[in-house]
Amino acid sequence: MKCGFCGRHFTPAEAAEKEPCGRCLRGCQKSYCPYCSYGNPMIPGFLDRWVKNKDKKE
Amino acid sequence: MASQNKAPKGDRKVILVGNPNVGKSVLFNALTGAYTVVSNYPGTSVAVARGHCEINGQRYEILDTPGMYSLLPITEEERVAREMLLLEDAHAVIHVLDARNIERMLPMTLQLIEAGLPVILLVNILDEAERSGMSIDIPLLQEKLGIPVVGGAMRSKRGLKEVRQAIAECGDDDLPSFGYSSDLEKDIAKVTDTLTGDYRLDLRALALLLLQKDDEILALVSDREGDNFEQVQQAAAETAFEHRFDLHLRISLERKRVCKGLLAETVRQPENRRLRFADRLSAWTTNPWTGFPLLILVLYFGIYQFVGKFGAGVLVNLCEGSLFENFLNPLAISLIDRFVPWYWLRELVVGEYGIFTLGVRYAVALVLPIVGTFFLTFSVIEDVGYFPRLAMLVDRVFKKIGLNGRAVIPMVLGFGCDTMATMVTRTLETVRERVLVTLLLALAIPCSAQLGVILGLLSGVPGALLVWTVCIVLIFLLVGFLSAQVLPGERPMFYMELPPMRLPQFHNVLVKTMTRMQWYFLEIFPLFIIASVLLWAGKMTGALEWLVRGMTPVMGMLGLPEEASAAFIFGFFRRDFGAAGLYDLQEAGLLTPVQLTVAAVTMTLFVPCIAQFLMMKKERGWKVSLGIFLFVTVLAFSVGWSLNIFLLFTGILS
Repeated sequence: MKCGFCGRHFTPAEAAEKEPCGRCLRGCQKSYCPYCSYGNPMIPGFLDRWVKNKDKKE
Repeated sequence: MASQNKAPKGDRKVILVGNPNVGKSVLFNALTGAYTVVSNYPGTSVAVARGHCEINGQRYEILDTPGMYSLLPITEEERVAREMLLLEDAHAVIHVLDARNIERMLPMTLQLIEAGLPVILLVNILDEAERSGMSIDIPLLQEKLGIPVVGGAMRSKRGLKEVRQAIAECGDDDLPSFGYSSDLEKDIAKVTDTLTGDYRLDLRALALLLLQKDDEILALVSDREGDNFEQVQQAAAETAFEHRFDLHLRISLERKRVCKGLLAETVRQPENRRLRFADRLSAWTTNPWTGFPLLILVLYFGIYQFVGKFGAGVLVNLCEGSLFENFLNPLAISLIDRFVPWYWLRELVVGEYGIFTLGVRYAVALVLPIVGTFFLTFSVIEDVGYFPRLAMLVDRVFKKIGLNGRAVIPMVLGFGCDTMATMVTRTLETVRERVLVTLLLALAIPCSAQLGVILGLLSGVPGALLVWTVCIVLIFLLVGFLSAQVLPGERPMFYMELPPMRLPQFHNVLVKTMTRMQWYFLEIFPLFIIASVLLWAGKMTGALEWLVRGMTPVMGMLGLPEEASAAFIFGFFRRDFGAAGLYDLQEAGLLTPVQLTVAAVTMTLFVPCIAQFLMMKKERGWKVSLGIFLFVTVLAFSVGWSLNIFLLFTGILS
């Protein structure tokens, strides 16, 4: 994914290296950029499928 | 210099490197065809593709590395890519870059040359660059760089033949050396002079990585230097300490300076080419003379007009006023009254603090429209690429309060959720910065919902929003400035590469807004229900009345009615819950303009919610978090008290 702050690309596995704050009831829904630490929203399943379908079409 | 070009046994290796999305995989497929193997790099979970090709009868193994931005790795992918460069005995290293972003990507070519690698530069996506009017003199660039340079567009296989030829001809040619400023060269020499081991990597590159505190390189040097390691480490540590505030910036600026010289006559734009609007806008946003007026415009239209007027005004009136007050609440109350005989259960569901009449109504009708509009604005600003420019813009102001532009990241995140932002403060470089930002987040950064409700409330009272804004900004700057004087510590430099500015992409904005709204709603909904149950329990047991009575003198001191106590108690559950409580008081006509403004200022500055306090304790420890808690509480009520007296004395807002 692309970081909304610094514009660099990283994978979910790299983002998971950051320890979550643990205060959200449903677990951390952020992907923290390994380059600038900006918290990017993790796209939920139904939107993710939509994004992937759109990318495939393109 | 130890060269990488050792005689290979069997297939010669060719490694493809470059930033993500520059066409490495397209080149890989074009070179290797269909027969490729993808496997994890040994000891890691990072996938690496390997394939083969034959050029002039010689077989080559082609390795496609994960995207990397620099030889100084940050992520696992970059670490693997660098390890491949250092450990695989490469016949050639092809650096693939995007012609449209050549100025931003060329510094990595310098790093690869510096490392002593047999580099071939592929200037890819040249067709699109040319379509936009750009022309790159490839032979001149090759002459200046002193390495093979190929221009091409791998999607259409343009330049593939030249790449294959460059691979075949890649030999033991001497690599060029690019000089930096004399100061930096002296620092590099201090470290290289101490190195005595045998390395694949050029000593100059090794010294630069040691100065930038690369742990893996340090371990490698420790292994190779033996007894001499202490001397190397001391030389690197001393030099790095001397320039601890600006070392990364100096190295980055020097590489940029060299690249600028290399590209000066190499890259041409048509003479009649006008600077793109996005480039001009980008420059305006970081220039203080135009940047601050633009920031005010963004805040006025994005936050005040759209979130405050439209979200907190029109949408909330529609949801809260028309839907809940006129339709859903009366329906729920009449149904419960008809079918539930028990008073306690009626109170629990549709009473003053009922699950439906308070919890659901606050979450759905009050907070959701506001955070929805806020997240939409936020996603647009984010997608345009404005935030990193904001960081550059406020860097100068932030330096006055002991911070730098890097602190913009937790501040921006704080408008979404201060708890998460408090955790992100750990990424700031010094303890001093972390404490300062934690304090300012607890004090003067309202979360999105609190901000939205307050904007919606105050925008209906002429002058109230201006008074609130002036108060919060002044307190932010004053407390930041004074804390910076009191807290000892270092002041690190800040620099970052700006990503290109662009028009917001509808698809991106929609996905990000919906994602954030879903996260927020699913997160707050149960909490609002729990809070309303707790308040109901407090009401039924009399504990709430006791708490409200305890707060009444404080409310009196602020000139507020005793009913305002409940909103402040709500605020400690969640900031947005408190602001919503204030909304109810205003709707009930219990607050004058002065009282409303004083309550809004005090509540914004007032202590953070429980979750944020717990996060402060986790990140900064009991001593600092309790200190911040006490300071913020005393300051919030003192400011509220002073503001009430000031407004009553001057007659402003009366």
